[in-house]
Amino acid sequence: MAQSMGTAIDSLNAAYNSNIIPNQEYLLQGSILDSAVEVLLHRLRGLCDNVDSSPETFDDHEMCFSIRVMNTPPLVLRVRRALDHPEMPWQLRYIGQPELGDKSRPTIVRSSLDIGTSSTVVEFLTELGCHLDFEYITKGYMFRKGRMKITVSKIFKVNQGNEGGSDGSGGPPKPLSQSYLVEVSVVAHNGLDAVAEDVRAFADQLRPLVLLDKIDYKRL
Amino acid sequence: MGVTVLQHYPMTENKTGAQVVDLLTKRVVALGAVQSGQFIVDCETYTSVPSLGAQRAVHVLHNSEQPASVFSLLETPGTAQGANNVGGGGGLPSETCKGLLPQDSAPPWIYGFLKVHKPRTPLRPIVRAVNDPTYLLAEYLARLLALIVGHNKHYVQDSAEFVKTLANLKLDPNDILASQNQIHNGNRKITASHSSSNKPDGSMGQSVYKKPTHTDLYLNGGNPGQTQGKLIPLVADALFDLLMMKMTNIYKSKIQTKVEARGPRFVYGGHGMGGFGSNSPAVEGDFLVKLGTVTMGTNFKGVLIEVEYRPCVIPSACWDMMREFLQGFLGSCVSSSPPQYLQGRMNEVYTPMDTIHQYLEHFTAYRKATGIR
Repeated sequence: MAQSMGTAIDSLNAAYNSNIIPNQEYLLQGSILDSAVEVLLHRLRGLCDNVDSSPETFDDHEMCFSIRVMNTPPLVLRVRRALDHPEMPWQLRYIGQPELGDKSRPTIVRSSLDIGTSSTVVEFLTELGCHLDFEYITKGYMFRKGRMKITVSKIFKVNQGNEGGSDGSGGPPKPLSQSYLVEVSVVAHNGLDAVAEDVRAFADQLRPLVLLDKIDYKRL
Repeated sequence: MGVTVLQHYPMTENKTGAQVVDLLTKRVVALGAVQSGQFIVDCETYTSVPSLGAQRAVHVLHNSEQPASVFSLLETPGTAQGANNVGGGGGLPSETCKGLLPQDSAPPWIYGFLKVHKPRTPLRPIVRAVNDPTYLLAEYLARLLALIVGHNKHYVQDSAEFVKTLANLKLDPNDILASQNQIHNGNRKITASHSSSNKPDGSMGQSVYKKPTHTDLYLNGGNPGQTQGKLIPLVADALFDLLMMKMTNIYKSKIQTKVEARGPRFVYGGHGMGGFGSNSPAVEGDFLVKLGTVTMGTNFKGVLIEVEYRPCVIPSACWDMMREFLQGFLGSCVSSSPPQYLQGRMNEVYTPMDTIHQYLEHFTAYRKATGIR
């Protein structure tokens, strides 16, 4: 009874040092035209774990914030919430600079922190000094394969006409393009580079329907 | 989860903190309470760096009662200074005010450019005001005004638009045309990129979430002395601490001001059978009593007692009983009215964030106290 209790920071540091906090994301991205997406979904249903149930759908609103002080690279934070499940926690996500590496590295690696939060997070970030850079709605399907997450989603613009509506609804959102974004990712702890090979191997099984690759945003 | 009241226990001169906690432990045990482990609530405060504008503070608290959560309270400018401080800086934090005073300034100097393409090559005088005594003040105001740049009729986007404007301008022979360039040293030229009008993508710029910030109030509300800061709560999971570590070049913490309350935790009531549906009296009880020793850094600051009444979530329904219970073992230091923070929320459902608010109020008082409180 008498032993003193460790602080929350102590236990977080212990978790960090024993490498159990998932903070690295291994990612491959690609896209597929609307006309071919059904075929891809079929193949994914066959390949993935949740084969017996119909694929899980999602309908998320994502806002991208950044905060910067002079002469430092901006810190980018993303806030995501499920439009179809308003009772769920909001998600605050930190994503670091993507490392593409050379040809031998199978995926993009970027540091990532996923934090569940209360719905006050938007006001919190705004007052913290963050600027809203852009926002969008993403709708689609999610599959699982072991630790991998595969999403097939369509990006929509957020309607600008309804300044009053705070939920981003009020009129059908307009799709940004004629294609779906396909992402395969694993969030794992530091130094678990073996999963990157799994991601690449899985992505190769989707060829030639969709070519998943390391996308360099700077060259787009 | 129930209603929690936090009570400060005034220290007497001839007792140490450990002695007070010992004494209170004996009293609580004499009542029939059973110790059930330890508790800890800690608070770390991060303040924004000056270049981010008006100073903000993020208080990050942990409560061992909710071990998977991190509670944050963002304190926006205005709170610390109160409303009646117009003469002393109009509600701006003192550090900001200090930063606006002239530092190593030089008088502005005037020089000229020869306009060689004009007849008789007149001189175009230029006043260089960089580093003049009011430069920092002007720079600060320009940053505030950046929010409305691009939204009024005096705004000129670029030189092409300026030429077009000039073409439509009728000038009398006696008129004088004055121009002012705003050029900063370094790369911090204030442009319209802060405004929503020319987002690079042109499409997804301004959001429906734009809330008035304190600067908007400052600009629209008239009297800057009336800007009231506010506390914005955020409940997040434990990884939020890692995010704060990513922000160390924007929000910095001071190790010396880290405050924590820790000590034994007791359960009481439920007559040995625990509370609702519990079969372990050491885990459940109607009352939860925590005897906290408050330390800041390594210094002892005082004793803080937390009492939670678990079967109820509406403060007004159980305050009288909680007050009697508190007075029973603490004596006259318990006031007959509810804590200030609860007074406005007596009929609302109590949440863990309300406990955090109370802790922050007390921790702030302990930080301000020079010695033991």
